[in-house]
Amino acid sequence: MKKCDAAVIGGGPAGLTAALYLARSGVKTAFVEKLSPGGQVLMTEVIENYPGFPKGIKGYELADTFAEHLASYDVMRISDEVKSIVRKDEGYEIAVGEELLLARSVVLCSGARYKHLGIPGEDMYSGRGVSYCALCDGNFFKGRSVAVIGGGNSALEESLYLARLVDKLTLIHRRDEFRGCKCYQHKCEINPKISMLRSTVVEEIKGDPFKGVTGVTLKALKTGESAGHGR
Amino acid sequence: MANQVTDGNFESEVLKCELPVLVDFWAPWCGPCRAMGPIIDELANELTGQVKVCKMNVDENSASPSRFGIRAIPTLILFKNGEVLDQTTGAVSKSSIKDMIAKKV
Repeated sequence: MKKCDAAVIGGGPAGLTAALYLARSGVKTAFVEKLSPGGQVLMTEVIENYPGFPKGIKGYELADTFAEHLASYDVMRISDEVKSIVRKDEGYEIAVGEELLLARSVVLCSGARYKHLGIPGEDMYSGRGVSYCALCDGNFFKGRSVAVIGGGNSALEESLYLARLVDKLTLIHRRDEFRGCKCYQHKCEINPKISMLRSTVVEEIKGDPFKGVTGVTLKALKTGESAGHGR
Repeated sequence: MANQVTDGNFESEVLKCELPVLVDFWAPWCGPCRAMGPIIDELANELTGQVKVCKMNVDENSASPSRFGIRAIPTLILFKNGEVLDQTTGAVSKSSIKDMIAKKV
């Protein structure tokens, strides 16, 4: 069984920073991440709000820089998924992949996941028209018509990125007001390819076994009316 | 390291391969794909002789991804005798890929 003083679980910016501080303090540290380090930074095209990069930096470049910074320290790197953490007298027994790791303390930095709508059609057409990463999948929808669902920063940023590729983009939000930051809201409002549907929810994602997603069913919350929306 | 396959050799390297084949459809600009890269290479080494592990760059090859209806990456497809045994989209851990292979192969 591997042993350490501190196990940092999660390799996003928080976990990388925690591991860096621990290693610099001379704590025997294990750094556990199931994928490459970077977390959601890897899924972001350009990071514009991280101090020190006034011109912005590509998400993967920042992630690589973080990882390179940590690489110069003596940290036990484990690239697999944590399955369980059990409290023991001498610390915590962590099952990672097929191995066990004993740690005196644990720093959890497991981050956030995509929010799912939980509506019919979403799982069925995931990867076949339903996507959670514009940067990854935008190219598959070049010149097409797409819908982006949500009203926070993720929805607005992804819309601005996608608008450069697609023919027409409909931003669908369940509330009247967007939660995302004003600078993105403004850019979306003036973008000629983006139209907005507020106070509207998507009830179902429609598709075809061969073609993938073909459209969505919408419901206007103020009138209660349902309507189809094709691609 | 996982072999890079192309539209040109997909038939011979993947569909007609005697071993089961795991193909990672990826692109250089895709963060989650980059995150999975090292795992795919590790799997290629660990599964030598049992499962052939390949990567296909969808930026340079469009025929095979479109033939299998791929519209999101990373997508992993497990083939055997030219047929799709299973597939998964999005960044997943090494253990879950191993579980998928163990269930189907």
